[in-house]
Amino acid sequence: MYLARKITLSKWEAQQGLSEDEIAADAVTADLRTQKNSLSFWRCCPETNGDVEKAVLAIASAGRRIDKIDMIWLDGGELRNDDQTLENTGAKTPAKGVDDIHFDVCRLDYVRLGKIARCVVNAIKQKRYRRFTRKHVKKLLMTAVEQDRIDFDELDDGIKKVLGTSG
Amino acid sequence: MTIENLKRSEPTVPLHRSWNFAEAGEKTEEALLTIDYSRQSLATSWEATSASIDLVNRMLKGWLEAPSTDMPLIICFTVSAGQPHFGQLSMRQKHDGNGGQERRLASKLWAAFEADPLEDGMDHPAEKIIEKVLQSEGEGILDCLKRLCLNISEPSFAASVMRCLGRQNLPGTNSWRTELVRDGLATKDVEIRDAAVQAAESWGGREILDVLESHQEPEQWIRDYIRDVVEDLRE
Repeated sequence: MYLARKITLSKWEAQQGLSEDEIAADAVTADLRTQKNSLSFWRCCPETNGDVEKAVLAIASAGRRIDKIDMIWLDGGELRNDDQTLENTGAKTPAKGVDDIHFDVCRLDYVRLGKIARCVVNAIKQKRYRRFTRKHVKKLLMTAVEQDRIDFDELDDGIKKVLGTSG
Repeated sequence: MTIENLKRSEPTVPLHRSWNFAEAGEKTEEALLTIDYSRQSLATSWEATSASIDLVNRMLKGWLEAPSTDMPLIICFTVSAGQPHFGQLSMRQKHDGNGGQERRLASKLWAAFEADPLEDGMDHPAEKIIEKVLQSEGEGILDCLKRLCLNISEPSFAASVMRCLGRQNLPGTNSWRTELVRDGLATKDVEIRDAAVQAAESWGGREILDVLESHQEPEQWIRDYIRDVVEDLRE
């Protein structure tokens, strides 16, 4: 099992004076911002066609504008070995049928958050990431609207405008 | 403080003292002399580490790449075991006239990004700041924005400005946007280059497409992104 999350790839690649094995604090504070000591993830199987896209759809449809999205998937086994606590929690997104794939890594403290950051770095080293262009994200959203896989009314007006369907 | 004063004060570096190498209003040529001198002194007299020297050189480059401003360069040192050690280096802009406009804009953007990191898929207050100056200041602000986008000494800030600018509806002329993307791609910083491609993806256009296609990108993941964006823009 893998757990996917949106990141900003360039923040993890930019070292700015740090050595190769050090993790940029800017990346951690920008991409691993916790709420109630939890981080949101989407369960996926990257080998399965469309699985990562499903997570992208869940994230993009909850946004306010359409941009490129960098997705990374962390090894579930690696998280378990780090004694992370996973809980299946409800998804806050207009995408339908994704509740069962949304997980929070909870009870995060400073040390366990650092371990998540290390997992992100490992995933990048092992090429477990993918960048979806803005156009690709838009296409995913449009297809989902056509197939009624998104609660259209729940979409932000900024997204509706770009999709050309003001409702 | 003049260059000569600085030289004389070298042996007695007080704790946490900062020097203003170039006072506001000094000519760029004088600033250049100061930079050459300070770089030399850091390398020889103060035995700065190579990492520190690299940092100084990067910041000085960014300083020199903003020729229309007269920014004082502040270098701070601390003293440990009786020896001055390179501690912290920062750059502060001090402007008059048009420079004041750039300083105010930079300050507002700094505050916005410090309060809230820029996130894909989410609006950011900095977009409104840029939108407002583009509407109120006209073309005069484009040079300021370009300098902020290409400020290699503050790459994360520069990349954030570039990404917010990329979210604007076709700012400036086509050639201005193309040049900005080209210059962004030419920088050594990966965040700025990535932001330049994002701006290109957002704005599109034949000339920008040409810039993307002719760019020799060293990083594989940005190369892949450029390839995808080129495909998207061609459709």
